[in-house]
Amino acid sequence: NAAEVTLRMVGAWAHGFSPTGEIGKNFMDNVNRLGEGVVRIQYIGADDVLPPFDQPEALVNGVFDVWYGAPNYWAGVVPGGDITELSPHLVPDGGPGSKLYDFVVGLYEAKGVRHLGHAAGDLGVGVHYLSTNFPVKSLDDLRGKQLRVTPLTRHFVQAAGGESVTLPPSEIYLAMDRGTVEGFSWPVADAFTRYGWQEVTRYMIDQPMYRSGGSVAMNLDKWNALSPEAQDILLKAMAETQEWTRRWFAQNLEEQVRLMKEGGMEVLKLSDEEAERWNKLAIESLWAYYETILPADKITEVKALFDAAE
Amino acid sequence: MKALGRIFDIITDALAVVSSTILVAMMLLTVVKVAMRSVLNYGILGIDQISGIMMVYMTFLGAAWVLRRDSHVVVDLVVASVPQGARRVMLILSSLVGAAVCFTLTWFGTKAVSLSLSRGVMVAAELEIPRAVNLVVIPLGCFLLGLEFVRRAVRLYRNNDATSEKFVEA
Amino acid sequence: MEWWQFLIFFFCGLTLFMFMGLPVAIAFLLMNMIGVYMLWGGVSGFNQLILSIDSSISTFYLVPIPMFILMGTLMFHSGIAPRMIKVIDQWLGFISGRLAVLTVGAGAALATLTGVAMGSVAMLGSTLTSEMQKHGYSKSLSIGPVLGSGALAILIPPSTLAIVLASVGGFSVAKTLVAIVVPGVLLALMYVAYILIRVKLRPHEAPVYDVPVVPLGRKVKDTFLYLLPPVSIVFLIIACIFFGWATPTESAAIGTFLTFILMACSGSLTVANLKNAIGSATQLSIMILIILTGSAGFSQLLGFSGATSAITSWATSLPVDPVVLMIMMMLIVLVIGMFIEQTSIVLVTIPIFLPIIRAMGWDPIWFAVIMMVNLELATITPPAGLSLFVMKGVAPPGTTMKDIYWAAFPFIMLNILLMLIMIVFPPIALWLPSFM
Ligand code: NA
Ligand code: NA
Repeated sequence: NAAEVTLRMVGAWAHGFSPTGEIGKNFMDNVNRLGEGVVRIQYIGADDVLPPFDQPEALVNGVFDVWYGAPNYWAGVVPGGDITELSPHLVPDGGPGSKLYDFVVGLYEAKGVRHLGHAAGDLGVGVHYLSTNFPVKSLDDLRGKQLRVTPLTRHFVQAAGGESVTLPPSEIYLAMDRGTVEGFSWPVADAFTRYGWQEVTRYMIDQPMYRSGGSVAMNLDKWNALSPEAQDILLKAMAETQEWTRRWFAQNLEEQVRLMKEGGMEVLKLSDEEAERWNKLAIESLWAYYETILPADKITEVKALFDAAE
Repeated sequence: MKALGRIFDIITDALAVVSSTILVAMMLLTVVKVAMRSVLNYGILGIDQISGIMMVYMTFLGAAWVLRRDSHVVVDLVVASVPQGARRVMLILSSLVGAAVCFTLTWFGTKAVSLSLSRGVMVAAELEIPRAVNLVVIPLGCFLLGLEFVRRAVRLYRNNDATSEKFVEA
Repeated sequence: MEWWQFLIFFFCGLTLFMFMGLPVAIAFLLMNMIGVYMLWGGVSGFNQLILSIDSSISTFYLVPIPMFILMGTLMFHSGIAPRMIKVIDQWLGFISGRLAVLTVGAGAALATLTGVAMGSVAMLGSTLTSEMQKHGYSKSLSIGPVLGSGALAILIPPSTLAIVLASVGGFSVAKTLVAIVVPGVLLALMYVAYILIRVKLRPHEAPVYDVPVVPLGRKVKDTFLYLLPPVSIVFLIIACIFFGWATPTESAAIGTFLTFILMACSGSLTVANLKNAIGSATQLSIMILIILTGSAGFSQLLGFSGATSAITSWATSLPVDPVVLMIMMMLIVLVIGMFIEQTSIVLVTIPIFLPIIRAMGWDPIWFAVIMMVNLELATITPPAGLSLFVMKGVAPPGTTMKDIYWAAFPFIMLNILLMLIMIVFPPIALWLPSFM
């Protein structure tokens, strides 16, 4: 069909490598099924074609059309673009058609990007966890410890008095093995054991943080040039992906925790009181960060939209 | 023209000193960081990130100086084995192409810096620093490198026999 | 354009630009500009090219490159390295070709410090190559062992590349790291054996020069004064990394700092020495880093055009015997490795190789180890192995790329021989990790 539009997609992780990467593949498959004759997605590659942290700007520059990866990869380009990490809604951005979704779309549009969706597991499923080589009973145990963080979890670690160290996934094994860091944050459902980290890590702290998951975005000009029919297909495909991701992450989390335990790791549960302290600090420290990069009225608006969740 | 050349030499020499200083500073910063951590148990944030920025500055501030010393890596398989006349033409031509590449990068580098500033792009690591801080040295370095290529072409054009010294023994 | 048209166009263009005498970095950047125009949406993609130049070198993982270069030039210009070599000379006086053998030993020692072959080559090349030529060694023998031994950096832990390979492939990182030790040591021994045989057959390549008879007391004293201090710095760096006191970047900086202190103690911390050492370290570092600004983008564009993945999937879909398939896969890596750097090779090929490894029922560690030797080889294969360019930068004036290509040749053959041995006798690769 001559009228069919082909969109080129690049992602942060190759298909088949990480469960989070499968969000991109699922979205592509949905589009290609629903969009026959109207719109289709062609997968170009992942970190083999562009370094993941360069991909968001490359999307804005029109090097390719559709992107998937972690929401916080947008932190430098779209201030607050990953604010749905704090969302209490089942679908982090509320899904196409909701007020929260329109708010997030507005944040991205100002920077030349069309946000398509943030897909994650249910609340507390497939999210960030801390894994350590020292026993942790309380938040206070983190004080003075060197911990590997992501841009998202560094606020919490710093607020807890730890020393945050930024390392790419490929360096974590050696750093844990040699004791250069004593713990690290990772969304456990995302193939924790595939990296072999269970061989060099003793404990997983069973205290979920934020939402994690993956997000899908488009170049804004390319989006605006699409027919309304094609746009609808993309949104419908996204809604399906957001629904699918919930089961997908639950299944992966369960499998990973089983493999971690088989690998000799111990899952530590905090007392109710400590869990609440931990959760409070995690949320408050991240809000404090967003308050430095978003205007006060946006903060008020998004807090109201979050509160609307049941 | 000669005075202009001398001023340019002084500038590239000065920038080479800055590059060298960056190299040593990079080492000292890291040593201080380790010392603070192991002696005072106090971690300094962002040294690794700053080291990354210093790598870019060191490279681009010193690139023109390295060219003046004829030390950029060249595959001289062909250049070294052709007769001297042809070699001179090739070297003039490649210098001009080099200049064109550098000036093109200067142009697009400048645009990239202004675009990055207008989009407000930040590097979201330990220290929130505008990406433009990294980028700005690229057009600057490319511009100086381009000028040095032009000078090399002019020098080769004027001197009939004196091609680049490194090929004398080849 | 089809992927194969891109492939031919890219490589012909790059070769043409390099051969016309453009600096390698500029040749890469020019080819990238053309590629960006074709693949990344015309002129608007140029913005991305600038970003890619920045992100290719603005990372602290590469900081050990300039650090180890600085350490090398400091040791060289202050006379510490030449004195150290002299002491070893006093002990090794009876071995013919001892400086070449020493290079292999030093390369293996350096390899325990770094995973970056280019830094190793820069240090060995700037200290030992001119030393060998001063003593009448042939060009080829003064360059080849440096290239081969420098590349050991990737094969002897710590090796960042082994970790990248294992995590992309989903292999056990610990096992991969342990498994590469045996081929690493084996390769170093093969180098030594080769040098000894070569010097025996062609004595004019490594003339025996008179080593004055030194009394034992003096030898011991010199060892303590001139050999042990720099060697302890090296061992301290290893300890820092091994026991996790510091990251490789930090360890490299500490080692360089200690070299300054050693210079002060030996009375060679003069302004002239510092100026020479820091100046040439700056020049060498810029020379290497600026090539990286171009080669990263080139690999990305190749990936983007679909050429690298297409050629891999085409060749691996052929119906042939498993061993032949393994050899073919390694040939593909070898060919790609002539042009692009190793991390990109891993990122491009492993996702396509993985299903084949599983389908064949191969031990993934066996595959990983052979692959690592191949990736090591990629740093020294012409025309675009990065270590070759580094060697060109540090070699004495008058050394041509042709000299370097020829010098690398026998060492490339030794690497291929080792790969074949491991393909035929898997236990060599699997013996050590079987104790884990
Ligand atoms: Na190594
Ligand atoms: Na190569």
